[in-house]
Amino acid sequence: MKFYVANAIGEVKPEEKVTPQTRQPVQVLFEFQRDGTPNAEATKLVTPWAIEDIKATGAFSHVTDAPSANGAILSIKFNNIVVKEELNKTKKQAFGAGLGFGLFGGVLAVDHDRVSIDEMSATGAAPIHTEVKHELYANYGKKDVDVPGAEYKNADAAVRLLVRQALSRGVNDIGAEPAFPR
Amino acid sequence: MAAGFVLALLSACAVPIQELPPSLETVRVLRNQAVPPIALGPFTPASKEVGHSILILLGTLRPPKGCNFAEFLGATFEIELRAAGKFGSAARLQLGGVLTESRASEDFKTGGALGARIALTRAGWPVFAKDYRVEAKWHADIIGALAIEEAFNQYNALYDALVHQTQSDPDFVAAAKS
Repeated sequence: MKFYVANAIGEVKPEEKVTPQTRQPVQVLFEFQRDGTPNAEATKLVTPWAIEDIKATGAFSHVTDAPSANGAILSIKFNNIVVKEELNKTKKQAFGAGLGFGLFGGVLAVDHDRVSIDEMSATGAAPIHTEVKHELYANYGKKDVDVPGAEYKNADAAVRLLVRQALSRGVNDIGAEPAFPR
Repeated sequence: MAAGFVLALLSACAVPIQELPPSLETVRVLRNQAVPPIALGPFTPASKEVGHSILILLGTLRPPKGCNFAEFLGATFEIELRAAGKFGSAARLQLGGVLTESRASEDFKTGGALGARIALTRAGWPVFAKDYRVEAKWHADIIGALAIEEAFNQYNALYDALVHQTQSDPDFVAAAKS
Protein backbone atom coordinates (compact mmCIF):
# COMPACT_ATOMS: atom_id res chain seq x y z
CA MET A 1 0.00 0.00 0.00
CA LYS A 2 1.25 3.49 -0.79
CA PHE A 3 0.31 6.75 0.91
CA TYR A 4 0.19 10.21 -0.59
CA VAL A 5 -0.10 13.62 1.05
CA ALA A 6 -2.14 15.97 -1.18
CA ASN A 7 -0.14 18.66 -2.97
CA ALA A 8 -2.74 21.39 -2.53
CA ILE A 9 -1.38 22.93 0.71
CA GLY A 10 2.35 22.23 0.61
CA GLU A 11 4.84 24.11 2.79
CA VAL A 12 4.49 27.76 3.79
CA LYS A 13 6.87 29.60 1.45
CA PRO A 14 9.41 32.05 2.95
CA GLU A 15 7.73 34.98 1.16
CA GLU A 16 4.36 33.97 2.69
CA LYS A 17 5.60 33.46 6.22
CA VAL A 18 4.32 35.86 8.90
CA THR A 19 6.45 36.19 12.04
CA PRO A 20 5.36 38.60 14.79
CA GLN A 21 8.00 41.05 16.03
CA THR A 22 6.99 40.44 19.64
CA ARG A 23 6.14 36.82 20.26
CA GLN A 24 3.81 35.76 23.07
CA PRO A 25 3.48 32.47 24.95
CA VAL A 26 0.47 30.27 24.16
CA GLN A 27 -1.41 27.33 25.68
CA VAL A 28 -2.34 24.65 23.13
CA LEU A 29 -5.58 22.67 23.36
CA PHE A 30 -5.45 19.90 20.73
CA GLU A 31 -8.17 17.38 19.93
CA PHE A 32 -8.29 14.75 17.17
CA GLN A 33 -11.78 13.85 16.01
CA ARG A 34 -13.29 11.29 13.70
CA ASP A 35 -16.41 12.62 11.98
CA GLY A 36 -16.70 15.26 14.69
CA THR A 37 -16.42 12.83 17.62
CA PRO A 38 -13.34 13.18 19.86
CA ASN A 39 -10.97 10.22 19.50
CA ALA A 40 -8.85 9.83 22.62
CA GLU A 41 -6.32 7.36 21.14
CA ALA A 42 -5.58 9.48 18.10
CA THR A 43 -5.45 12.64 20.25
CA LYS A 44 -2.86 11.03 22.51
CA LEU A 45 -0.74 9.98 19.49
CA VAL A 46 -0.90 13.23 17.53
CA THR A 47 -0.75 15.85 20.32
CA PRO A 48 3.07 15.66 20.82
CA TRP A 49 3.53 16.07 17.04
CA ALA A 50 1.19 19.06 17.04
CA ILE A 51 3.04 20.77 19.92
CA GLU A 52 6.37 20.32 18.11
CA ASP A 53 4.91 21.59 14.82
CA ILE A 54 3.47 24.70 16.49
CA LYS A 55 6.80 25.41 18.19
CA ALA A 56 8.51 25.09 14.79
CA THR A 57 6.31 27.81 13.27
CA GLY A 58 8.18 30.37 15.42
CA ALA A 59 4.92 32.30 15.94
CA PHE A 60 4.98 31.97 19.74
CA SER A 61 7.66 32.51 22.39
CA HIS A 62 6.61 29.49 24.42
CA VAL A 63 4.25 26.62 23.55
CA THR A 64 2.75 24.41 26.24
CA ASP A 65 -0.48 22.65 27.19
CA ALA A 66 -0.59 24.46 30.56
CA PRO A 67 -2.16 27.93 31.11
CA SER A 68 0.11 30.73 29.90
CA ALA A 69 0.74 33.94 31.86
CA ASN A 70 -1.20 36.09 29.39
CA GLY A 71 -4.12 33.64 29.08
CA ALA A 72 -3.47 33.08 25.35
CA ILE A 73 -4.91 29.87 23.88
CA LEU A 74 -4.48 28.10 20.54
CA SER A 75 -7.30 25.58 20.14
CA ILE A 76 -7.05 22.99 17.38
CA LYS A 77 -9.74 20.48 16.41
CA PHE A 78 -8.32 18.08 13.82
CA ASN A 79 -11.33 16.37 12.27
CA ASN A 80 -10.83 13.28 10.11
CA ILE A 81 -13.93 12.92 7.96
CA VAL A 82 -15.26 9.84 6.22
CA VAL A 83 -17.39 10.63 3.21
CA LYS A 84 -19.91 7.75 3.14
CA GLU A 85 -20.37 7.72 -0.65
CA GLU A 86 -16.61 7.63 -1.21
CA LEU A 87 -16.19 4.86 1.37
CA ASN A 88 -18.88 2.70 -0.23
CA LYS A 89 -17.36 3.21 -3.67
CA THR A 90 -13.90 2.32 -2.33
CA LYS A 91 -15.26 -0.82 -0.67
CA LYS A 92 -16.74 -1.98 -3.99
CA GLN A 93 -13.51 -1.25 -5.83
CA ALA A 94 -11.48 -3.01 -3.13
CA PHE A 95 -13.67 -6.08 -3.46
CA GLY A 96 -12.92 -6.11 -7.18
CA ALA A 97 -9.22 -5.53 -6.57
CA GLY A 98 -9.19 -8.39 -4.06
CA LEU A 99 -10.77 -10.80 -6.47
CA GLY A 100 -8.01 -10.06 -8.98
CA PHE A 101 -5.36 -10.56 -6.28
CA GLY A 102 -4.60 -6.85 -6.62
CA LEU A 103 -3.44 -7.29 -10.20
CA PHE A 104 -6.35 -5.57 -11.88
CA GLY A 105 -7.44 -3.05 -9.31
CA GLY A 106 -5.91 0.25 -8.35
CA VAL A 107 -7.96 1.42 -5.41
CA LEU A 108 -7.64 4.92 -4.04
CA ALA A 109 -9.06 5.73 -0.62
CA VAL A 110 -9.20 9.38 0.48
CA ASP A 111 -8.86 10.64 4.04
CA HIS A 112 -10.31 14.12 4.41
CA ASP A 113 -9.05 16.30 7.25
CA ARG A 114 -10.69 19.53 8.33
CA VAL A 115 -8.59 21.46 10.84
CA SER A 116 -10.35 24.15 12.83
CA ILE A 117 -8.03 26.57 14.63
CA ASP A 118 -8.99 29.31 17.10
CA GLU A 119 -6.50 31.69 18.71
CA MET A 120 -7.29 33.89 21.72
CA SER A 121 -4.49 36.29 22.61
CA ALA A 122 -5.73 36.90 26.17
CA THR A 123 -8.58 36.04 28.53
CA GLY A 124 -11.74 37.71 27.25
CA ALA A 125 -10.31 38.44 23.78
CA ALA A 126 -12.38 37.52 20.74
CA PRO A 127 -10.95 34.43 19.06
CA ILE A 128 -9.36 34.54 15.61
CA HIS A 129 -10.60 31.59 13.59
CA THR A 130 -9.30 29.77 10.53
CA GLU A 131 -9.89 26.41 8.84
CA VAL A 132 -7.51 24.29 6.80
CA LYS A 133 -8.48 21.39 4.56
CA HIS A 134 -6.03 18.63 3.71
CA GLU A 135 -6.18 15.12 2.23
CA LEU A 136 -4.32 11.82 2.54
CA TYR A 137 -4.63 9.20 -0.20
CA ALA A 138 -4.04 5.46 0.20
CA ASN A 139 -3.48 3.42 -2.96
CA TYR A 140 -3.65 -0.36 -2.88
CA GLY A 141 -3.66 -2.93 -5.62
CA LYS A 142 -0.83 -3.44 -8.08
CA LYS A 143 -2.19 -1.01 -10.64
CA ASP A 144 -0.86 2.50 -10.29
CA VAL A 145 -3.35 5.32 -10.03
CA ASP A 146 -2.68 9.00 -10.74
CA VAL A 147 -2.55 10.74 -7.36
CA PRO A 148 -2.14 14.51 -6.81
CA GLY A 149 0.23 14.03 -3.89
CA ALA A 150 3.71 13.19 -2.61
CA GLU A 151 4.25 9.47 -2.03
CA TYR A 152 5.19 7.86 1.30
CA LYS A 153 5.58 4.11 1.90
CA ASN A 154 4.95 4.57 5.59
CA ALA A 155 1.53 5.73 6.88
CA ASP A 156 3.00 7.36 10.00
CA ALA A 157 5.38 9.52 7.94
CA ALA A 158 2.53 10.60 5.65
CA VAL A 159 0.27 11.51 8.57
CA ARG A 160 3.07 13.43 10.31
CA LEU A 161 3.64 15.50 7.19
CA LEU A 162 -0.08 16.14 6.76
CA VAL A 163 -0.39 17.33 10.38
CA ARG A 164 2.68 19.56 10.08
CA GLN A 165 1.54 21.16 6.82
CA ALA A 166 -2.00 21.75 8.07
CA LEU A 167 -0.83 23.33 11.35
CA SER A 168 1.92 25.49 9.85
CA ARG A 169 -0.54 26.78 7.22
CA GLY A 170 -3.23 27.39 9.85
CA VAL A 171 -0.92 29.16 12.31
CA ASN A 172 0.46 31.31 9.49
CA ASP A 173 -3.07 32.28 8.43
CA ILE A 174 -3.88 33.21 12.03
CA GLY A 175 -0.68 35.26 12.27
CA ALA A 176 -1.63 37.19 9.12
CA GLU A 177 -4.88 38.40 10.67
CA PRO A 178 -4.82 42.08 11.76
CA ALA A 179 -6.10 41.15 15.25
CA PHE A 180 -3.13 38.85 15.95
CA PRO A 181 -0.72 40.52 18.39
CA ARG A 182 2.51 41.73 16.76
CA MET B 1 -9.15 -24.48 20.62
CA ALA B 2 -12.15 -22.53 19.33
CA ALA B 3 -13.24 -21.71 22.92
CA GLY B 4 -9.73 -20.51 23.71
CA PHE B 5 -9.80 -18.22 20.68
CA VAL B 6 -13.16 -16.77 21.75
CA LEU B 7 -11.90 -16.16 25.28
CA ALA B 8 -8.79 -14.49 23.94
CA LEU B 9 -10.95 -12.31 21.71
CA LEU B 10 -13.17 -11.34 24.64
CA SER B 11 -10.27 -10.44 26.91
CA ALA B 12 -8.52 -8.62 24.06
CA CYS B 13 -11.59 -6.38 23.69
CA ALA B 14 -11.43 -4.85 27.20
CA VAL B 15 -10.06 -1.33 26.88
CA PRO B 16 -9.75 1.51 29.39
CA ILE B 17 -11.59 4.77 28.85
CA GLN B 18 -9.21 7.61 28.08
CA GLU B 19 -8.99 11.24 29.08
CA LEU B 20 -9.87 13.79 26.46
CA PRO B 21 -8.15 17.18 26.21
CA PRO B 22 -9.77 20.30 27.69
CA SER B 23 -12.05 22.27 25.40
CA LEU B 24 -11.75 25.92 24.44
CA GLU B 25 -15.46 26.46 25.06
CA THR B 26 -15.32 25.31 28.70
CA VAL B 27 -12.01 27.03 29.45
CA ARG B 28 -13.39 30.30 28.07
CA VAL B 29 -16.47 30.16 30.28
CA LEU B 30 -14.44 29.47 33.41
CA ARG B 31 -12.03 32.31 32.69
CA ASN B 32 -14.45 34.89 31.27
CA GLN B 33 -16.90 34.37 34.14
CA ALA B 34 -14.07 34.73 36.69
CA VAL B 35 -15.02 31.50 38.47
CA PRO B 36 -12.91 31.22 41.65
CA PRO B 37 -10.49 28.32 42.23
CA ILE B 38 -12.22 24.99 42.88
CA ALA B 39 -10.96 21.87 44.64
CA LEU B 40 -12.11 18.38 43.80
CA GLY B 41 -14.33 16.56 46.27
CA PRO B 42 -15.59 12.99 46.16
CA PHE B 43 -17.19 11.56 43.03
CA THR B 44 -19.10 8.36 43.71
CA PRO B 45 -21.34 6.04 41.69
CA ALA B 46 -25.00 5.85 42.65
CA SER B 47 -24.70 2.07 42.35
CA LYS B 48 -22.03 -0.53 41.61
CA GLU B 49 -23.49 -1.09 38.12
CA VAL B 50 -23.25 2.60 37.20
CA GLY B 51 -19.57 2.89 38.09
CA HIS B 52 -18.65 -0.39 36.44
CA SER B 53 -17.77 -1.30 32.85
CA ILE B 54 -19.65 -0.61 29.61
CA LEU B 55 -20.33 -3.62 27.40
CA ILE B 56 -20.82 -3.20 23.64
CA LEU B 57 -21.12 -6.44 21.66
CA LEU B 58 -17.88 -8.29 22.56
CA GLY B 59 -16.12 -5.13 23.66
CA THR B 60 -15.74 -3.89 27.23
CA LEU B 61 -14.90 -0.31 28.10
CA ARG B 62 -13.64 -0.06 31.65
CA PRO B 63 -12.60 2.81 33.90
CA PRO B 64 -8.86 3.54 34.25
CA LYS B 65 -7.07 1.12 36.57
CA GLY B 66 -7.81 1.79 40.21
CA CYS B 67 -10.87 3.95 39.73
CA ASN B 68 -14.51 3.85 38.67
CA PHE B 69 -16.45 5.88 36.10
CA ALA B 70 -17.61 8.37 38.77
CA GLU B 71 -13.98 9.12 39.67
CA PHE B 72 -13.21 9.40 35.96
CA LEU B 73 -15.91 12.09 35.74
CA GLY B 74 -14.19 13.91 38.59
CA ALA B 75 -10.88 13.64 36.76
CA THR B 76 -12.51 15.14 33.65
CA PHE B 77 -13.68 18.14 35.70
CA GLU B 78 -10.15 18.53 37.02
CA ILE B 79 -8.64 18.56 33.50
CA GLU B 80 -10.87 21.50 32.49
CA LEU B 81 -10.29 23.37 35.77
CA ARG B 82 -6.50 22.99 35.47
CA ALA B 83 -6.49 24.10 31.82
CA ALA B 84 -8.46 27.19 32.81
CA GLY B 85 -6.11 27.87 35.74
CA LYS B 86 -9.06 27.40 38.11
CA PHE B 87 -8.03 24.28 40.03
CA GLY B 88 -7.00 24.84 43.61
CA SER B 89 -6.34 21.76 45.71
CA ALA B 90 -6.73 23.81 48.91
CA ALA B 91 -9.66 25.95 47.70
CA ARG B 92 -12.60 26.47 50.08
CA LEU B 93 -14.97 25.81 47.18
CA GLN B 94 -15.19 22.11 46.46
CA LEU B 95 -16.85 20.27 43.54
CA GLY B 96 -18.19 16.73 43.94
CA GLY B 97 -20.82 14.51 42.44
CA VAL B 98 -22.76 11.28 42.22
CA LEU B 99 -22.81 9.44 38.89
CA THR B 100 -26.44 8.44 38.44
CA GLU B 101 -26.55 7.21 34.83
CA SER B 102 -23.93 5.64 32.59
CA ARG B 103 -24.89 3.63 29.53
CA ALA B 104 -24.00 3.00 25.89
CA SER B 105 -25.39 0.61 23.33
CA GLU B 106 -24.43 -0.65 19.88
CA ASP B 107 -28.06 0.03 18.98
CA PHE B 108 -27.94 3.48 17.37
CA LYS B 109 -31.57 4.14 18.30
CA THR B 110 -30.69 3.86 22.00
CA GLY B 111 -27.28 5.49 21.88
CA GLY B 112 -25.61 6.47 25.13
CA ALA B 113 -26.21 8.72 28.12
CA LEU B 114 -24.40 10.06 31.17
CA GLY B 115 -26.06 11.65 34.20
CA ALA B 116 -24.77 13.03 37.48
CA ARG B 117 -25.85 15.09 40.46
CA ILE B 118 -23.18 17.78 40.79
CA ALA B 119 -22.67 19.59 44.09
CA LEU B 120 -20.64 22.54 45.35
CA THR B 121 -19.69 23.06 48.98
CA ARG B 122 -17.89 25.99 50.54
CA ALA B 123 -15.87 25.28 53.69
CA GLY B 124 -17.92 22.12 54.04
CA TRP B 125 -21.34 23.81 53.68
CA PRO B 126 -23.53 22.88 50.70
CA VAL B 127 -24.10 25.82 48.33
CA PHE B 128 -25.36 24.11 45.18
CA ALA B 129 -26.67 20.81 43.85
CA LYS B 130 -28.21 20.06 40.46
CA ASP B 131 -28.76 17.13 38.11
CA TYR B 132 -27.03 17.18 34.72
CA ARG B 133 -27.51 14.74 31.86
CA VAL B 134 -26.12 14.40 28.34
CA GLU B 135 -26.92 11.85 25.67
CA ALA B 136 -25.79 10.94 22.17
CA LYS B 137 -27.11 8.88 19.29
CA TRP B 138 -24.96 7.74 16.39
CA HIS B 139 -24.97 5.62 13.30
CA ALA B 140 -23.76 2.10 14.08
CA ASP B 141 -21.55 0.48 11.44
CA ILE B 142 -22.61 -2.96 10.32
CA ILE B 143 -19.07 -4.20 10.99
CA GLY B 144 -18.92 -5.14 14.67
CA ALA B 145 -15.39 -3.92 15.34
CA LEU B 146 -16.21 -0.50 13.90
CA ALA B 147 -19.52 -0.34 15.79
CA ILE B 148 -17.68 -1.06 19.06
CA GLU B 149 -15.05 1.61 18.41
CA GLU B 150 -17.68 4.20 17.47
CA ALA B 151 -19.79 3.43 20.54
CA PHE B 152 -16.75 3.68 22.84
CA ASN B 153 -15.70 7.02 21.33
CA GLN B 154 -19.24 8.40 21.58
CA TYR B 155 -19.54 7.28 25.21
CA ASN B 156 -16.08 8.67 26.02
CA ALA B 157 -17.12 12.06 24.62
CA LEU B 158 -20.12 12.20 26.99
CA TYR B 159 -17.80 13.00 29.91
CA ASP B 160 -16.51 16.18 28.29
CA ALA B 161 -20.05 17.08 27.26
CA LEU B 162 -21.39 16.72 30.80
CA VAL B 163 -18.52 18.76 32.24
CA HIS B 164 -19.15 21.49 29.68
CA GLN B 165 -22.88 21.48 30.39
CA THR B 166 -22.19 21.87 34.10
CA GLN B 167 -19.48 24.50 33.98
CA SER B 168 -21.28 26.65 31.43
CA ASP B 169 -24.56 26.55 33.37
CA PRO B 170 -25.32 30.06 34.71
CA ASP B 171 -26.69 28.47 37.92
CA PHE B 172 -23.39 26.68 38.53
CA VAL B 173 -21.35 29.79 37.77
CA ALA B 174 -23.51 31.98 40.03
CA ALA B 175 -23.22 29.47 42.88
CA ALA B 176 -19.45 29.22 42.44
CA LYS B 177 -19.09 33.00 42.57
CA SER B 178 -21.55 33.60 45.43
